Amino acid sequence: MHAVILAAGAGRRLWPLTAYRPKPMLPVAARPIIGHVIETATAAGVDAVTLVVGYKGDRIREYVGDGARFDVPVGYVDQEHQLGTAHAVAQAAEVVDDSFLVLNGDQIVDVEAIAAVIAAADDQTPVMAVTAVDDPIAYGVVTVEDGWVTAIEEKPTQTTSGLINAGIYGFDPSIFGVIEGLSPDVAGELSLVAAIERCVADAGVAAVATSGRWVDVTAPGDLLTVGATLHREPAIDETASVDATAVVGPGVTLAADVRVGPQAVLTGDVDVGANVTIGPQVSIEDSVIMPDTHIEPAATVATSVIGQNVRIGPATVAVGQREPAAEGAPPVVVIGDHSRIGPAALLEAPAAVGVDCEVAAGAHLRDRIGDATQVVSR
Amino acid sequence: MCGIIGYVGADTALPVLTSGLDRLSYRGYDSAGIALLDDGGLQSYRAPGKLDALRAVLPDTAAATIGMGHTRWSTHGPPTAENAHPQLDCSGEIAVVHNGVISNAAALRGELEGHTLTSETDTELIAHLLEEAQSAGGTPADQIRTVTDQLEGSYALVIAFADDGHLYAVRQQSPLVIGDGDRGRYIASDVPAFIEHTDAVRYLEDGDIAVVGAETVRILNDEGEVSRPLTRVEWDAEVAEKGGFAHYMLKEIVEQPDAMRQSLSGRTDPTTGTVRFETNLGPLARVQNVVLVGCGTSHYAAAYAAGVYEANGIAAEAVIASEFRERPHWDPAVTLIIAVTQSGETADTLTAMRAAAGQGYATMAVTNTVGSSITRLAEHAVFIRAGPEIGVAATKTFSTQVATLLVLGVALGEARGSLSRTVRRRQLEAIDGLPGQLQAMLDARGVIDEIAAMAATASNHVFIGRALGLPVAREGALKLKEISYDHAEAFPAGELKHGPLALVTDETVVYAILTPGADPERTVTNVKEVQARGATVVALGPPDRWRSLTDWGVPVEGSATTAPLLSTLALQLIAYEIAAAAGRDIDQPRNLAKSVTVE
Repeated sequence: MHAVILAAGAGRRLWPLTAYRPKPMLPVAARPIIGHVIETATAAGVDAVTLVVGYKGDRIREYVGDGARFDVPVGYVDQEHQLGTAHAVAQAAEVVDDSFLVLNGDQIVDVEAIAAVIAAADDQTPVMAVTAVDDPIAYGVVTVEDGWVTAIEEKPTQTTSGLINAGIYGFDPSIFGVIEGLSPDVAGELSLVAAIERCVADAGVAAVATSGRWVDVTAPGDLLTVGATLHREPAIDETASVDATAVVGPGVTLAADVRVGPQAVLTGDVDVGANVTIGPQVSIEDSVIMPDTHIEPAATVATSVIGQNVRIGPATVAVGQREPAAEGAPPVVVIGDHSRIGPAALLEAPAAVGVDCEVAAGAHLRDRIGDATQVVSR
Repeated sequence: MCGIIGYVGADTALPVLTSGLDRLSYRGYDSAGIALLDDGGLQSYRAPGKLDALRAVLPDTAAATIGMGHTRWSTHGPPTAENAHPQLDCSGEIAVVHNGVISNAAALRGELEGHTLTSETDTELIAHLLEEAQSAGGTPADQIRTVTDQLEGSYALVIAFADDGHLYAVRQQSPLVIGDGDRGRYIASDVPAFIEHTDAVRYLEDGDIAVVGAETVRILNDEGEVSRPLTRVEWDAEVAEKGGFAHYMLKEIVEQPDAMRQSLSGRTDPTTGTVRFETNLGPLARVQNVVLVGCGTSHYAAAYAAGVYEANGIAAEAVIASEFRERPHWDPAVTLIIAVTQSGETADTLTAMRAAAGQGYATMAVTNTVGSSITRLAEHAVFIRAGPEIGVAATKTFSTQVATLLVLGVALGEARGSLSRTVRRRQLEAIDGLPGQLQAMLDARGVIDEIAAMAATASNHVFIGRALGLPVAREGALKLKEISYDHAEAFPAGELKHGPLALVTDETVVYAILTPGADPERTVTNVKEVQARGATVVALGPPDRWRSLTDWGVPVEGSATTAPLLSTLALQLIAYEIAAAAGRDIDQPRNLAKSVTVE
């Protein structure tokens, strides 16, 4: 079945990590989310993919290409203005001519869940996946009777249903007519949920109950926790070089050409992107480091998400919350792409440094610094 | 400059040939043709123009399982159906496709009697000479040898005879490879033409005649039967697709951070200040003089490297390959000649290297193409590992050529003991910063696009720089003129006042390289000079350098050895955007071909 994957959104809640990349390009378990999504979809039986791209779409095109690395043909349609999820789906009207699947490019779900929707969509459309969660009111809550959807409510204050919209849909081309008939909502957008509500009132929407993994990244700190739920084996790329005196723990993933200097210590769940240099005596714990970043000697990075091509100066300390919060994402230190920090700066959660910033030696930060800011001292 | 594809096997030949021609079209595209061979003999289809014009005259399907195709870039005679290949003899039973130039064509044409020539090509002569040779008897390979013994110049040929189930492939100074697949044998000018079918290839050598059947390949040279090793090519055909981008050029610009990481992978160790190449580079310790030979963009990459080598204390000069001649001050015992060519098939560069061969120089090739002619001509080869580049305008191969040459410069400094460990470490750290800094350049796309929109209406583009900024300025001007067809020139910044300043008006955009390594303090004077004449100035460098000079600045990071190189990415994007706004054929600009295999 053909899958239309929505990957055009900006993901503003994930600033500064999304200043230069769309949310589907954020790394989870050492690869972009969109990579996990396409891999899962093909494992479930998807045999062609159309990516709806918009915000920073070139990053996705560059990574996914024509799909060769996923062994599935991938095409693209542009959603120039991001006017809602239904508007995004409508962009694919020209390229689908049979029943098709719609997935979110920034949510990782189980292979079985996608396979179940494909099987159901072979019989009837529209169909949507629902999944049971403990705290449904934060999501789109779905009421189901006898296998049919009767209501969808976004973030209700209270509910009797424990089921939420899992973001996997099966449609046929008649959905494009439904979308055309929608009026923009208060935000000026056409939402897929509104289209489904039309269908509920019309011919009905079948619900497919799914369970298992359902990974959504809504805050930078999620990048530290969701990787673990994917049960991916940590791996040291063969081109990575680790000094004999460095300590690299069992939960550490090092991508190509990472260099780890003498007496550096990497422990906990650590994902290090390609061409990252970790200097002597650096310590890193439970963090994500994106490609091309330099962490200079004796710096400490813990519970932090460090962007691409960042320079963390010598003896700089970036430390998020040490103990995981009771619920939700742990407070982390986030540093945007291309920023220069330190030497000997101290960044404590919830410090968030935008892209292209310069933070001077000895600065002490605990708050949010906008893009392209020069922090002289604090 | 032309592209050749041939197939003998179990499948119908036509789809193999048309998709092969598609992938070869970057080599030349002013006319094309296909010959199919079946029990009914040879059928030939030819058309001037792009491949779509050929498709219009081709049958939808054909049962033939043997055939060959050709995409042509004119050297002898204008692009017409008559001059397109394949060329046939009088009987219509011998078909030839050819890439190269027969230098004694006029003499041979004069000697040929009793044949009717219908084209102006040197290729048709070969078909008629083969017809002559048939009367002497012998095997087809013997007949071909008789003809090639008369030919001077460069040629890769594929020949079909109407009553023979083989294709004959001949190589002399023009590239030709043979692929062994499960479904048959493939012959092509380069591997991407058939890599969707097989990655097992044999590279022919000069003087080889290959007798290619569906199941077997026999290769003969002057001495008799020879074997050429079967090697596997690592490039995946799919990698070369456009991947959703409007043009290959944009794809190749955008993938530069990845290409750079791949190019540098495993070669640099900034902690120890050492360099590891996968192959032995010969005795670098005795090198006192480096000569870098190349054409076009590769020449500018060479000029950039020469500048860095000189700063590293080693005599170095970049020589345009077609202007190559030995210089009295080159001592063969201590001179290393480096050929810089993306394709490894650039005829001018190959000719220069042949001229240097046998004179005692150490020789090295820096190229993107494993198994290419230059790698067999030079004693040692270093690959830039940029992945396939399809857009005619070189982008990622320029940046990775420069980076590879910079790494080589550190290796030279290490071997000769002329660069201290501290300097080597500093240079390698700067080189390792390139992938991330290239991404930073891409992330400045918004600023760059605004500049391109402003510059698109200019009537004249002038690029200026000094030191390492000069080859970058030249490359910027070359990119812009190649794909936009706008007037673009580069000058050493200090030379402006000695003449070119007369070109500068209020419709001129001047691009100034103001990065470290480009002597920016002195170029600022020239910026003011052109601003006084009303020109709009686009500055590339650290923002502090240009903020007070112009509103049109591109922030560029990097060290004195890398910052000028990083500026190139912005110039590539500006050229791309200007050409795209003008609706140009960006991946295949008029009159140009990717790999220039004629002199």
